[in-house]
Amino acid sequence: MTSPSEIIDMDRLDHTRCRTWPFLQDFCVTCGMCASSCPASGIDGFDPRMLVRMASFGLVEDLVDARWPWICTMCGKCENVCPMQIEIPDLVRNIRSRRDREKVPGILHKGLVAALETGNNLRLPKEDFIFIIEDVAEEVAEEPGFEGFKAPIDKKGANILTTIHNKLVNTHTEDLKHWWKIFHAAEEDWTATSENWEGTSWGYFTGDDDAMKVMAGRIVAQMERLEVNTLLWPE
Amino acid sequence: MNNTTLILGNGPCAGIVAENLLTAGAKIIIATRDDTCNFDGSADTGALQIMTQTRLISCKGSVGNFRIHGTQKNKPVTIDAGRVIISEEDQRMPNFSLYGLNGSSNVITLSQMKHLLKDSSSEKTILSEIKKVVFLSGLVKESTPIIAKDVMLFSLLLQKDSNIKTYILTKNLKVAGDGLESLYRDTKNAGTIYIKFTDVAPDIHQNDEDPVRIEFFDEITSKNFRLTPDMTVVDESIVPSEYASDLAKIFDIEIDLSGFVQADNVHRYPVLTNRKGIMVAGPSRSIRDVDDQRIDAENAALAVTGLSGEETKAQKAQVHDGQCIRCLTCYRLCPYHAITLNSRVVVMPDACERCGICATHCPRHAVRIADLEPEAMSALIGTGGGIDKQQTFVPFIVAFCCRRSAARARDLAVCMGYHLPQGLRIVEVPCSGALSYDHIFGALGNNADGVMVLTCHKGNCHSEQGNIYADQTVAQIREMFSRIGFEKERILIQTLASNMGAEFARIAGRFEETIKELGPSRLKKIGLSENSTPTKSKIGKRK
Repeated sequence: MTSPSEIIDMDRLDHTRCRTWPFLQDFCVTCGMCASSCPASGIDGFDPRMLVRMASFGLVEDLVDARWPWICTMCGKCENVCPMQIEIPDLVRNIRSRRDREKVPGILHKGLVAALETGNNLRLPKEDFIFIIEDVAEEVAEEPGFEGFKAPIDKKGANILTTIHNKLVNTHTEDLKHWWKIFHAAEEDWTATSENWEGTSWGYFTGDDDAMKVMAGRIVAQMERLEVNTLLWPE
Repeated sequence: MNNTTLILGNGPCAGIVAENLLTAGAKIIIATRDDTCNFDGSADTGALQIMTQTRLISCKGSVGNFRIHGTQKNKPVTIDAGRVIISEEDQRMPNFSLYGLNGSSNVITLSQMKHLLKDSSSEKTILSEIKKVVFLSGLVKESTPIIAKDVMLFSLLLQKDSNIKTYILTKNLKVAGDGLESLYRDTKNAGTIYIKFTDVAPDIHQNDEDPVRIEFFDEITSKNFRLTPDMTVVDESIVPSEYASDLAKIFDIEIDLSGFVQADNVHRYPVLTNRKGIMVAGPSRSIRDVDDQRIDAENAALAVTGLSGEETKAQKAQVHDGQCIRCLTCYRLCPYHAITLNSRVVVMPDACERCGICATHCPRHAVRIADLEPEAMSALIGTGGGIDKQQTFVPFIVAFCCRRSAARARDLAVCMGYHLPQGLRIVEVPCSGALSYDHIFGALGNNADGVMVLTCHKGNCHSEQGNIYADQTVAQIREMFSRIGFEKERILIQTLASNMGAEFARIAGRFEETIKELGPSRLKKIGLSENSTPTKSKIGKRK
């Protein structure tokens, strides 16, 4: 990666390096609409326009090493306002995907590895998961109006399968109850699966398409196993 | 009346003018400075005369009757023509010095690049040896869409046909022209790299025949870059040809800030000049692209065929010999060069546009335009004002309005349903430059409680300075009024454009309020009834 004071010889840059990328970054007119619409603009020097321009210059290493592609929240406002229809969030994901997996910031990649290996980001064993769900269901059943409430796990032929965010079986178990109460009041025929229940797919954030495919495939497999046609994926 | 039109120029624009006029059945002369004429009209009709190696020196006469002296092949020649159309080509000046560069084998102009791109085998080999080309465009001086088009087009050809990497270093890229945005996209698609500068400029270093070194801070990536292209192409400025500047002097035509042969005056667009019968089309009048030139040429042809005197000679300025002392004030001030000098001062009626500036400024009252004389206008204004049925004071307000602006703004105000003062009387004048003290005193002598002079905006006067003269006249009267203890607020001057109906109503309304506060004018003749005949005011009479 180049330091800011270093002079980069443009003649040596290969401007064609990113030309096969399908995000239209070469059409940038440097108007700055993206930068002014971006909610993360300015954080640690983040600027979507800079990112686009560096891609069109072919400065791939600098982009991959920089911290700011990871500051983007993927909200897509930039793409929405871009007069040249440049697909900036996709460009950001592409840049993230090029980073060495061990250098992916924070717990994103570690969590993803855990999910790929064990089915969820927390490495939570199946029996622990079932225990937590049943425990929370009992608490719900103690509330007036919810007498006899049970969380139906692995119910074949249910109407809806819902995935579960790992946070909800970890620190935010109270949040499980809101969904369940709605289901109960609506007399919905629902279920959750005891295997591969994880709804979070951190491959989306790290640009790891293969991991996303695995995670999505697992949910589909659970739907088939339980013969459920409708998925609720509250991520 | 001479019906021949003289066309000056040897470019496409002159050609289109000639074509149009011949089709319309006009007689034309094409005069070019070159050895040959590019126009190849098959003129067996005798309607076309071509003069090569011809330069003009002087011009006398007016529309319908110009006598032009010059040289043809270095021998004196006289050309008689009823109209003249100037459509000389512009010229391109390389901007080397703006970038601190000198032309060399690897620093060339846009025109030289155009030449290289044209297929001529030996020179094509130069392009086969280079890999990277930088274009410098509008970095110091604002560019134009015509130059931007060349820069983008050549860059595209280099990228696509010769596989040469191109960089365009630019400030504002001028894409406000037909097809330019799409051309920009094409260059982007072909791989041209644009580097846009706003606040900083690149450092450009040249050392003899070494490759030029360009270093710059890119404001978007916040990185420093260096470029050492095999070839640097410098943009050009488009300027009028020196001959076009000479022609402006020969024909006494006002020029614009860049020296093009047409002053920036909306009344003259597209192709008219301050001189009737002398038109200017295409690259002589401003920076024009090919399509603009065609439009200009057609307009010029229309202007020639459509020229006819709609006013009679009696309405034009006339010099009354007994009083003229040949002070040349009129000759000096006439914006249309309608006054000529023989042994006497003579107005050429066809060239006169009735602005009245000559008549107002003549110290001897020798030049007059009959219907614009103070007495004639005073009679036209009549008297007015007085008291309405409720016994309240209704100010009589005379508004002298420029025909091209304020009078139209008043029409608009009426159209839009604005309330205008009850005692407002509009007096339309061809130009506010026609107004003298006598006109204004005449109005006051006719019982006016207030006088408004409403003119075109500054810099927008058909007669160039007419509104400024009016402004001076009013300023002098107001000054005089303050000295003698008369309310200077009774005289108001304002500028208006023809589309300012609402503003007209507002100005008139406020002025009426002012006059109501001041009360009736002390110059009012007591006992005059609304319908009495106008009296010749002593103040308004000139001997």
